[in-house]
Amino acid sequence: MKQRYERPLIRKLNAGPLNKFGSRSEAQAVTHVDGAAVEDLLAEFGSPLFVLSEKQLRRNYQQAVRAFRTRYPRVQFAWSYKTNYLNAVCRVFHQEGAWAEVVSGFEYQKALLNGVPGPQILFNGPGKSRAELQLAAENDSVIHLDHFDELYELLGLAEGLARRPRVAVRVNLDAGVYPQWDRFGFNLENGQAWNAISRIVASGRLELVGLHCHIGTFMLSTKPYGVAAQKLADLAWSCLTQLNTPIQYLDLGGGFPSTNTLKGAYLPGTDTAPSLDEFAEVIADTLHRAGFRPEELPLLILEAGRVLVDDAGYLLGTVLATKRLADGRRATILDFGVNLLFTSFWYDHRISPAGEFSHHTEDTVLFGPMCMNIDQLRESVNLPLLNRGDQVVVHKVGAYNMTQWMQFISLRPAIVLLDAQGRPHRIRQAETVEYLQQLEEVPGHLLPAAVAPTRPATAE
Amino acid sequence: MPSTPANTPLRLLALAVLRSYSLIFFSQHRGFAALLLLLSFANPGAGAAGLTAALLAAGGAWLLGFDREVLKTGAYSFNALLVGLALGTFYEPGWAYGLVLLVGALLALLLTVALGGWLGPRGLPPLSVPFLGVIWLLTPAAEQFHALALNERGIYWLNEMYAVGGEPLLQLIHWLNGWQLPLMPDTYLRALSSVFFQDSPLVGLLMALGLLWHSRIAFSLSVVAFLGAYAFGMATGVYQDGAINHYILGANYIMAAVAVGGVFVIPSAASYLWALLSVPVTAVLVAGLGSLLARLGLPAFSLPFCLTSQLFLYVLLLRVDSRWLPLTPIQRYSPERNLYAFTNDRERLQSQLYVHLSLPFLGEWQVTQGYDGAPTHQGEWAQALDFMLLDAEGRSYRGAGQNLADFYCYNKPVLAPADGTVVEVVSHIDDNPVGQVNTRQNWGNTVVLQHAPGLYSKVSHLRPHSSPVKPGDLVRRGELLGACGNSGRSPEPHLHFQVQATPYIGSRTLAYPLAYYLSGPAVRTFQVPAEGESVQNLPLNPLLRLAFELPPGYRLDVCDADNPAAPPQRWEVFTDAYNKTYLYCHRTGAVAYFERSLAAFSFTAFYGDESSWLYLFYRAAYRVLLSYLPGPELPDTFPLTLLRSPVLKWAQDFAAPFVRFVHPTFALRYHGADDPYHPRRLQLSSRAELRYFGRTRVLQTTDIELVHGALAGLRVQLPHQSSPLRLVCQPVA
Repeated sequence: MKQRYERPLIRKLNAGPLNKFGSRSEAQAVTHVDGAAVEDLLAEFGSPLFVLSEKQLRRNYQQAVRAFRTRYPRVQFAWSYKTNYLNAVCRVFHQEGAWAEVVSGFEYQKALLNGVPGPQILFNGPGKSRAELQLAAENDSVIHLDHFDELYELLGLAEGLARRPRVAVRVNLDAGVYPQWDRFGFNLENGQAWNAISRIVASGRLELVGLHCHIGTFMLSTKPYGVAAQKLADLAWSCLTQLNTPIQYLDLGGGFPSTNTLKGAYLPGTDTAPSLDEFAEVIADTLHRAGFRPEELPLLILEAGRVLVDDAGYLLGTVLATKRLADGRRATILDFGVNLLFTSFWYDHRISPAGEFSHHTEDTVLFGPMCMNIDQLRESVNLPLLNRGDQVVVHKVGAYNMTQWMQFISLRPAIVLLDAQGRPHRIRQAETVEYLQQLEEVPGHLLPAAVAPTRPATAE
Repeated sequence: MPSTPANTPLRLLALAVLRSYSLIFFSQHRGFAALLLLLSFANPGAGAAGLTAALLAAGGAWLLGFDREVLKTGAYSFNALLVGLALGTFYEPGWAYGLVLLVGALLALLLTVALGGWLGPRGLPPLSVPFLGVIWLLTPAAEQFHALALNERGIYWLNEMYAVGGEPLLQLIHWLNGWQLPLMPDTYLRALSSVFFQDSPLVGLLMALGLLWHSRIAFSLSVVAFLGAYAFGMATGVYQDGAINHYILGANYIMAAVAVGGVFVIPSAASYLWALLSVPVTAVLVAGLGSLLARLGLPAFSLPFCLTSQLFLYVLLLRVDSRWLPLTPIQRYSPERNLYAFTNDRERLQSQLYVHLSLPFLGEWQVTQGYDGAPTHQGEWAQALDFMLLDAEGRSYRGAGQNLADFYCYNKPVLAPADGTVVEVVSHIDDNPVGQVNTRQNWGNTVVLQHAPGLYSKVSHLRPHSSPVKPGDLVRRGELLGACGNSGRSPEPHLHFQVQATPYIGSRTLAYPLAYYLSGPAVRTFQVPAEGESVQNLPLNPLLRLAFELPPGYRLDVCDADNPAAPPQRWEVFTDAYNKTYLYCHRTGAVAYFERSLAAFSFTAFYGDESSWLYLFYRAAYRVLLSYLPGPELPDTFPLTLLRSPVLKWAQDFAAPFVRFVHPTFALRYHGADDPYHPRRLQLSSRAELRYFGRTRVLQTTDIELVHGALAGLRVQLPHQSSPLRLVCQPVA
């Protein structure tokens, strides 16, 4: 094969850490995902392509359940829909026993369509319409109240209902996390939460079943969960002793980190993120010591999202071009950009070549295909020299990307799920122009004229 | 028991007198009793004297304030009845005779109470010893009572019959006497009739039929004993020239065999052998005592039976190992009932035998070494369990497994298996690195709990300094004892659990079952998990717990939903003197005993009207695990008393000591919970069935509706009814 010509370049020697093979890259070719060849997947479903591993999804879920259930007797996970609400993904988790945690009417509908029984849907979030509240109440789902206006709305609504709607109170509290997430729910320390709880109980129209908090996201310390669990348990204890209202469950929310590396982190995420076991240890330990009788311990609900799905997702793509920037840095242009890989704003994603590569490596900027300056996937990553047509694998992209991706400039690609045997199943088709067009409506006057518009009569 | 018309003094006395008759045959069967009462009047004078004596004794027992429940069984009066029958048979009526009867009846009562008080604590029944005492006291004395005349009616009894029944009765008797029964049945029947001091194959036949009506097992035992005695007699030549005297053969063999083979011992093939073994002993006693007592001028009567029975019972009481020939724990006055209740209790009511132990951890663990496990559960320490956590791929660790923390079970909480007192804590021994063992301090960090006198449990190989408890602490089931570690003889983190009878670390182990647990999806009760089983504790359900709490004083009105005008049947929970709880139906007087433990609700017995709704509920909620387990059916076994078909029932009764071919079964399914953790409503669907010869007949299917922590309704479908019976339950404030 004729070698492609590349203009010679003088650059500063950057030896990097040496090993006995010289400055050979640590990068390893990832030719297969769960036994399926990257090359074949891209050939069959097109490039770029999101790939999810069912095996990993299940393994993650089972590990998470084991981490908590071997430490605490009654634990239930509620799958955080916003993290990834692809039906196939949700159903894998529901099959494993997860409930649904939704934060909008649309997600609520999706959960119902995925066959989740109404009572097993937790309806969170600050933006629930009256109609959505009504639907949730009729389906006997638990409504996690976020603010007083919602409480009043629901109190009004409950008057006309045969059955008391079940509610939980979203509490925000000082767990030592900065910045404190005080925009969701009722504040604990200033008495707002107790006020809300008292009103709910006093009204007699709502059934208070749970307390909920969610102290942050991508938490790299376990301690705040202990503080939060303690505060929620104390609050539940007060409900029991002062209001004679036993609390059925404590919902500690989510926020557990995956092993992705945050931008600006000194060490990789695999070294810094505490495992779910460590979080479970702190939470369970705190609740065991909170004073409940062993058989009366409240149910512990967790809304883990990212930690369950992130490392089960891969983004496969293809190099479109390479170029030199003005300062001599190498740039590689890939066929997916930040419109698909939203999380590249947060993480330094690990990216592996999917095929054989030279042992020479060079720091390179990874750009997406957008005609937009922000479309930069990695500012600088040490990679082998990739050429047009080479395929790459981005790791740990399962969380948020398939919900926060945008149809911007380019269309969104297909998603496949690799089942336990590594067989690919397409779970979302690639978008087409027709798909996009069908929602659009063009006012009549912008349509091509079937008849020549009548010219206004002019005085002659 | 609440006061009901059932317990008026008159009814009490009537029952006591009536049952005095059947109790002679260890029965409470009222029909049998009535038949015996009737038969006693085959000799009218004796019948009247027996009835009078029984009445006197029962009345005396009532006036003297003896236990009403015992009185009701006839236990205080049957000896007086025998005394009356004997006196009536042998003496002519008259004033002196009446006086002697009065004295005899009261003496029989006093001796019964006194002897019962002396023998009772030794586990022995007085049998008819009081009757013998009275007769032996009266017989020599009577010789000096010159006003007392011997009865000659026994000789001229046909005159008597003519006086009572005239010509027709006489002809009937002639016709009956024309019956030439073969020697063997004739002797058998005459022997039976001799219990009432009579000598009539007809009375014997009716008695035999009555005995058969009361109990197939007792009847078959009587036949077995008779045949045994016959054979023994033939072999030893006691009865020369085939002239078998029924008085010699007597009822002693029969009664002793029934007592030791079916009444005081649970009927079985072994008990039949035991009964057969009693026959030669009785024969020796009959021959020996007969001639011995004759010198004193005393009749032996039932003395051989009493001695044989008590001897055979007492030696069984002194055994160490009672696997064979188990004694009747609670006398139900029917060999069948005793047997069925015993086998059923053995299967079902183990909860009463054991301290309920839970698994000492949370979540699903695998048994990696069971009882008599290969590496270390050997010899005196064989009855121990090792547990580890494994993932779906069967690995016990993540990553390389180089560090203790890589092991799934490492540092997981270890919990108290039941309430108890901490008697020993060791927590200073370091964890071993993976792959190394500490054979010097082989148990590692350990906590020993005492749950009951002589019952200790031990968890070992804990992580150092992970135990928050110290000796003397009281812990509740499920409280933290420490964390799983790798101290002691443990190459990789695991949990060692054993039960022992002594409080020391290193005590020998004791085989002891775990109360309730899940093995995979299957429920296990009072078993020991085997190696390789994945086990976890039953998740208890608050709604089921609440709905089947049924505290004493709880009342429930049950109405027919399709017939709201009909009066409700009220059920109420009571506690008896033995702290057993039962549901009592105020309308029908039916009683259903139940037992409630931490994890299960079960009915243990039902007495009373089987057309009551309570009986339907008894069959519907026979056993309910207080855990929501949708999916597989939970099976259980009813006692055979559920069987109604007379042919099948009698056939099974005859065969029962040897083989069971009818199986009344119960199956329960849980479904319809709106929330698996805190359901406000859920349904139990149960099925009561009869299985025999590969056939299955449904007796009752029921849907039980539970709403908001209470029993809300029942939907009962009986096979012969076209539409289900819908019952609504409302708690009464």
